[in-house]
Amino acid sequence: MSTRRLRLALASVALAGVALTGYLTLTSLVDAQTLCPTSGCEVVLASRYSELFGVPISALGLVAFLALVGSAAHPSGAFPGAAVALAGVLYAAYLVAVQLLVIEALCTLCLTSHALMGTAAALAVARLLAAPETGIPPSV
Amino acid sequence: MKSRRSQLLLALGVAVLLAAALVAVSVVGGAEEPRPPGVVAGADEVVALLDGVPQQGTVLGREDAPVTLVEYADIQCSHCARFTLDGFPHLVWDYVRDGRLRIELRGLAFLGPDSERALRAALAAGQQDRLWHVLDLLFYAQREPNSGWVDDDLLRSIAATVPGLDADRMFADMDSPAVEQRLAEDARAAEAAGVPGTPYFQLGRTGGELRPLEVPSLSADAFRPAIDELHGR
Repeated sequence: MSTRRLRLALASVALAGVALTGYLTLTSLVDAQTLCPTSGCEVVLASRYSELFGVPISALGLVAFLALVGSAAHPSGAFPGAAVALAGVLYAAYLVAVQLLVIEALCTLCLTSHALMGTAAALAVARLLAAPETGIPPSV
Repeated sequence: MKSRRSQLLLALGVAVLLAAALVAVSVVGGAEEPRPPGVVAGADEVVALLDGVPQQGTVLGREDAPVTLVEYADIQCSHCARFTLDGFPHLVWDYVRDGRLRIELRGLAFLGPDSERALRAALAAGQQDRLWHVLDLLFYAQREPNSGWVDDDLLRSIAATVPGLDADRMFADMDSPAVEQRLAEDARAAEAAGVPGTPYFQLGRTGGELRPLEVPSLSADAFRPAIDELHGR
């Protein structure tokens, strides 16, 4: 896949992540019910692990996905994009472990956002490996 | 290519550091302070709020109040707790106290074992017409779901806070046939109503048809227009 297509794919996945984490953040801030197919979301989102110093964890995901959109839009965003996406995947792995081992419930919407972060990380790494080293398109 | 691999390793290193910092902050920030023994959060507020307000079983307010609000709630549901702390007190002061509204609880326990134990305690207190005191205090005391937070110490502390509540009788009634029947009836009512999650509200004229009430937020202002409309305002 060309670098341009990788950037487009990364931007699309990151925008989907922005929509999902934005929705989760908004429902958390206005105390609305989350449209979730399982009761696991209620349990997970009601747990103390769903917030960090009063800030919904989903807001962290929102910031990360926004950063990925920005990195995809910028020609030299391959390195920061990969770093943010890989950090997102590692933190998502921690959150999945917390859901499985501590809370003992799974939040479908949260898992979907983790899967989007995983996909974004794969695309960001592929872009980094394919990108021109200077970040500037090679002259013809 | 070698340089790109170096960049990837560097990106991975940065990512590990970032993620480790986030996990460390999460572990520290997520730590829950232990509950001081014997201290019941919200005791003064709840006792003052419900002082002199009629209660009968699961109903708060006068039986002949013209409007009924039904609340489906799970005691471990964080949004239900926010309603209790935010909108509910204003509804009690503005509508229930002057006999214009009665609020009926339909308790659910779908979030786990602590939900059921808490609900049983509240329903048992309802046998002594003190359900709403215990319910509110449990919401104030809400902790990590299913962490065993609804223990005997908490229930005894809450019971000791509620005026006129016999704690021993409450414990004895938690497994009574009346409580079992209420649990089953409310679960059936929730299923019949297609309750998608909690809190879920129904509103209508007392004795008439109750309709689902969708509110944009859990503040009292979100409930006022529908209640006022039923009062003909």
